[in-house]
Amino acid sequence: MTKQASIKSCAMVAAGFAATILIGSAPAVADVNFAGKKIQIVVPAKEGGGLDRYARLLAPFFQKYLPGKPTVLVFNKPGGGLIKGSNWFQRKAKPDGLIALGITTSVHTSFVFGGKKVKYDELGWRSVIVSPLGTVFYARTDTGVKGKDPAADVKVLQAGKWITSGKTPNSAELRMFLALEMLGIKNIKPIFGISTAKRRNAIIRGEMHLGIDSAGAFIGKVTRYVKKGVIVPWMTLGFIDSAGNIVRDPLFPDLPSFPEVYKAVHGKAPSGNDWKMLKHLFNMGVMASKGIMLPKETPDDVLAAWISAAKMAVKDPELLKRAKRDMGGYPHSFGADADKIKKDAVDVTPESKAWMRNWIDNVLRKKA
Amino acid sequence: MEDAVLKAIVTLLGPSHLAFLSLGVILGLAVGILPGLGGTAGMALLLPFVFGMDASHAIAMMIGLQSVTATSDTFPSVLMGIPGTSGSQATVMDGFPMAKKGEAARALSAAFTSSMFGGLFGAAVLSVAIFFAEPLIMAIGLSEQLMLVVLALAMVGTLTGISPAKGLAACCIGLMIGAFGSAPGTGEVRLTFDTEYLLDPVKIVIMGLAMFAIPEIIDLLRRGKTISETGKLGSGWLKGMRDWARNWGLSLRCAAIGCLVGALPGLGGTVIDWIAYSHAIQTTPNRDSYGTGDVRGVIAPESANNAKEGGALIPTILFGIPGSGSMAILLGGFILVGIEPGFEMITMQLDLVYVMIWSVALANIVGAGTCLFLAPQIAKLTTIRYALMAPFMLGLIFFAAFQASRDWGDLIALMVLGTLGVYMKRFGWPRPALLIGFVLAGQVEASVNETVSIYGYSFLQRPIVIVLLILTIIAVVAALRFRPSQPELSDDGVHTHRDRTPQVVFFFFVVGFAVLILWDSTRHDYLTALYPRLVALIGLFFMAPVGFHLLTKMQPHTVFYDAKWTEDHGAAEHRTNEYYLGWLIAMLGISALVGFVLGIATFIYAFMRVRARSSHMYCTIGAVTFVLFLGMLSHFLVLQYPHGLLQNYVDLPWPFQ
Repeated sequence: MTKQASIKSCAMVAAGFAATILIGSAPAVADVNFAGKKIQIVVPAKEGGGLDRYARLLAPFFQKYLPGKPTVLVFNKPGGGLIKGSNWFQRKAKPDGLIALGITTSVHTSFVFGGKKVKYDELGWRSVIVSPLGTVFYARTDTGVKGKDPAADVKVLQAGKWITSGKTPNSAELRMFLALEMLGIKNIKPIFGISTAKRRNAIIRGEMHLGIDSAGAFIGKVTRYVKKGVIVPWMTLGFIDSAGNIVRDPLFPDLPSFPEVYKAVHGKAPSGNDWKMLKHLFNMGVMASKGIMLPKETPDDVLAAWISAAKMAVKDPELLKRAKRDMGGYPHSFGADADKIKKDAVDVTPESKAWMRNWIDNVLRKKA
Repeated sequence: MEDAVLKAIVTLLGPSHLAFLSLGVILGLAVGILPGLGGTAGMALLLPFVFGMDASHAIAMMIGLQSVTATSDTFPSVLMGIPGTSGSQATVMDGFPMAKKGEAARALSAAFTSSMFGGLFGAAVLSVAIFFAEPLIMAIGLSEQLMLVVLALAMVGTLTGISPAKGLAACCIGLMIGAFGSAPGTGEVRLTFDTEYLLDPVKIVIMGLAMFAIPEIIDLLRRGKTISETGKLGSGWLKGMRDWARNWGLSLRCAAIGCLVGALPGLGGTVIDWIAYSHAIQTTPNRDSYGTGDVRGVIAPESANNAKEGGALIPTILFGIPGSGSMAILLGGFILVGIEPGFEMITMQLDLVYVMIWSVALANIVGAGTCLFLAPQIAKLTTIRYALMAPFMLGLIFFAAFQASRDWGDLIALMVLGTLGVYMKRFGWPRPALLIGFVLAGQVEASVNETVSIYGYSFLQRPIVIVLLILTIIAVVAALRFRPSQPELSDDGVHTHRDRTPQVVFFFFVVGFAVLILWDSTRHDYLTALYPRLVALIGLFFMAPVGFHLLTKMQPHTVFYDAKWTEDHGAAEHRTNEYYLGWLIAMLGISALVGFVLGIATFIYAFMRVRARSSHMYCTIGAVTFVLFLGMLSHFLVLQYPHGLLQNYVDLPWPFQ
């Protein structure tokens, strides 16, 4: 190549670069600019699960709304009950806004009950968005549950012996096991090592009797069998409104929430150690069901750029159209509000943790 | 209904639909060829583009990709002895020996014809079954799933080789390796040795590469100049198709098996090829030629593994429950374009369902056609000097292994298990038996726990369980009746009793592994320890007679096996297994210092220089090409490569990070 030609080609490359940067940065006014960058959302779970779908649903909209329109990609790093990927994020992620982590209920439960294997500090992460998703309790109709009168349903369930399942004794189903126990439904045989989808089908087939599902999965996959008269929903965990009260799940206004059912059974509002713990599990399972986190040291302006992108994303009509099942139309929270919900979920006192450990080891495991 | 059919056909044959379908097919073929990447990686690559597309175009592209990965994965299985995806492990058994005999062309054409037939059969079944499948799938409860696993294990009894005790012991080693990770019944982790990597069991991809790819590559390096021992391709394109036509009955049965197992819950896609392969051995005459390059051993798994994609679509469409990893992402893709799978689809969007199903058929035709067209060129690989090809292939399989969980542990696991594979090959321990034990390990433990918890022993009264039990008994009887004929035993053959020390050492190593599993089980509660304890004891039970004979027999016996008696010690270039394993360890050592990309580049350069005596220029070109190839993959597929110490201190630019 002659000298002249090489200078010419250099100039062309430079011009091209300048053009890219100009076009890329045109709409962004803030200092943060991701133009030409590649952003990863790490999903510590397998492809195709609920969290993966949530992250993949949001990714194109972050791409649309983050300043500079960076490429946003989902990167799965599964294993160890979501612990491997979360540990990896804690260890490797730099606070430059180019890497984020998708979290879900199991990330919370592992953080609280996972023991030595857990090397991540979930409380340190900075929340971009946290999205709630309700929890529905259902049973086979041949158990005698009618779904009309909570007190009567609980009486039926208290009298029988029922099979259900969980992934492990410390996994996301703890909210179901503890809630049933508090309602006096003690004669439960849990089988561990079974995924949510497998449990759902076992209940439909009649091999198990009761279970829970997230609101989206319930509407998408169980409704058909409710119509057929095989399955009946009888309670939700409820939902925390803007005033901080537990109210009925907005997607299931006809179903009583857990505190209502508790009151119908015991004649008083829930209180005590078990209720303290269930409220944590409630926040882990419902209010902070899914979310996107940035590393601890992330600067405020980078975080603000992500938050504003998330706020625009969840208002995008395209997303609303697609998100019915995975987001359900619940209100999201952002930034500091989201941090507070996360704290309510996983900031468990050592005493509460010890109480829960004891319950898992001496009550729940003994039932299996 | 007629409306839907008509509408579907119009959509299907529209030019834009065909274009998107072909695009998906090409992508699918590309990821299928690369070992370690399969439908899951391909789908993940597509998803960002699917967003915002017209629903029927997106379906065409995704289904196109999904349907053909099991077609092109035949290339590495047949040509190099490397399973292209975990669904084509069994194809290696006879396909690779065919390539070595110089019949690569015949093997490939038989395989692609079988794939196409399997795919079309799957689509045809799906068109009808989609209306009736619900009760069938719902009849398969947890206890039936257990029996399916038991049946699969029994069928595989055929693959135990000439020494049944050795085969069964190998199967138990597979079951033991599957005991790593957490116990399904309690969530407690076993055998982690305080590492994070061992929180989960080793991935199937790694196991497949370790059992087949590494031993075969090293074996080839030690023996031959090219993969094809004749240095020829053979002109068997038409012959391969005729082979298929002669065995159409076998192909049909295997396609049916593939379809059924793909649709039913419990077994999963990775054993279908093995089940089909065993079925072929059990139901066809002259079984002694299996494993030595029998074309029926290619037709059976290839017919089954494309048919399973049709079967696996049934639960995906009906229940929104993915039948495989890539089906899971397919579901995600459906949702991105606004399709919510479920029973409503059959009543509300039947035309779309038909578009999906017939896209499978169309993709199979386009895919198999493309492969047949490309095959003569690609098959030339088998005539290249092997010392030139081997470093790239080793780079490729370590790359493939790393995709399993993107952890350094993947590379170490491949090295350790690959070493095991090399010695199993040398001492005649059947590797398929180990692999199948491993693949089914998780399901065996989980489904026994579930079934016993729910039913106790009353599960034996369930009608489908009884049917499956009878089938299991038939499979066992078939396995017993069709024992392979006794090989010739001679003083200087592979079965000789002389010079037995190496195999005795290996035997005690295997026993030591079982003892380690037993020892670890003493540190856990009853339910966590039950499974590893049982399989270790059963394994020791089968190892006992092997050890007894190994130590006491004074004449040639089938229990003895050492491949060194077949080797030609006169060859000037003769090197040991350990020599090549040393190369691999060195490669990992360098990677630990400077990262995988630079490590593999150094390895390729040095290997070509030392083993192939290439010029410095060619060595450099080789190394740079591979680095660029890895760089392209990391760019398009969002991959990351293992870091070394170097990357902890400096931020290297693409493609070295």
